[in-house]
Amino acid sequence: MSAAGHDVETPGDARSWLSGADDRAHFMHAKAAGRTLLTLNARDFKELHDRDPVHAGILAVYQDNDPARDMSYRDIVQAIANLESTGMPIADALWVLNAYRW
Amino acid sequence: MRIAPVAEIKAQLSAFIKASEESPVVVTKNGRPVAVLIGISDEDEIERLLLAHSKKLRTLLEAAETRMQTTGGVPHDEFWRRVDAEYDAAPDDQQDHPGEYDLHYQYLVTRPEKGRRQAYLKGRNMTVSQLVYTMRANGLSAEEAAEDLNLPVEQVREAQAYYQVHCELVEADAEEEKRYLIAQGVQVEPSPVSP
Repeated sequence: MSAAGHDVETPGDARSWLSGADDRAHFMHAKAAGRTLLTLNARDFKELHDRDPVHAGILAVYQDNDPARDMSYRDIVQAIANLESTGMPIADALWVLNAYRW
Repeated sequence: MRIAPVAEIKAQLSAFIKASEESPVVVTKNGRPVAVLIGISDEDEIERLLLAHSKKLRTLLEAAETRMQTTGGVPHDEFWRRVDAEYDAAPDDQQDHPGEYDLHYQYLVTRPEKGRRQAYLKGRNMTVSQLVYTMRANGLSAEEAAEDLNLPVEQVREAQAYYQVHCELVEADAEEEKRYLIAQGVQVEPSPVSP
């Protein structure tokens, strides 16, 4: 993602303990830092988004059981670019990147 | 907005509940407003509504606002410094997730409160499937995944072994998540008109 020009911060970069913290801590940190949050946990972050829809955006990847539907790191970067190209606002929204895989 | 005396509301409660779906109904007693009837169209509104009208929360917010005005509040970095300090000071057993208990695995735990059947990686907010499916999607070996995700290679191998034995739990979680997202109206596949 960094190679694609994104300014990336991993939980471990942000706070030493954040990599093991629960979803709400990640959500609150990203919200406070004004960062878009990328997650493999679409379900729980959908719930957090519904409770508090004001944030810098949540991008989720749903991991299907079918290997043919796997999204590699490269596919995720491409899906983000595809989503951006639609002009849809990222902030205050939750997007499942599987829907932007083309 | 409608205004009606309590006696009228009592006599035609159902009609006023119906009317409250359009706009709030103010209930009066002896000519003075005493309550408001507000329709709920979305169950999620209940929590926001109750919080917005919580006397306890209002008191807390007013106290916080006063404190901010007198002290200037706590800067963002200072807030996180204090959270870090509190976390570092807490005993190790309080730093773990509540409700998690050990399996017969050294590096995996279950967290039943999270609503998933499969195990999590101890010390990380990551399920076995998030690790194993990421490895599959990117063709990563255990060593590569360990380096990429900053995990002990033993933890990666244990997660792979767990998946071999419990893949039906992992797959059931994924199916349930997909059903949930679709039920919530979340688009999980490209639409037919996508480029």
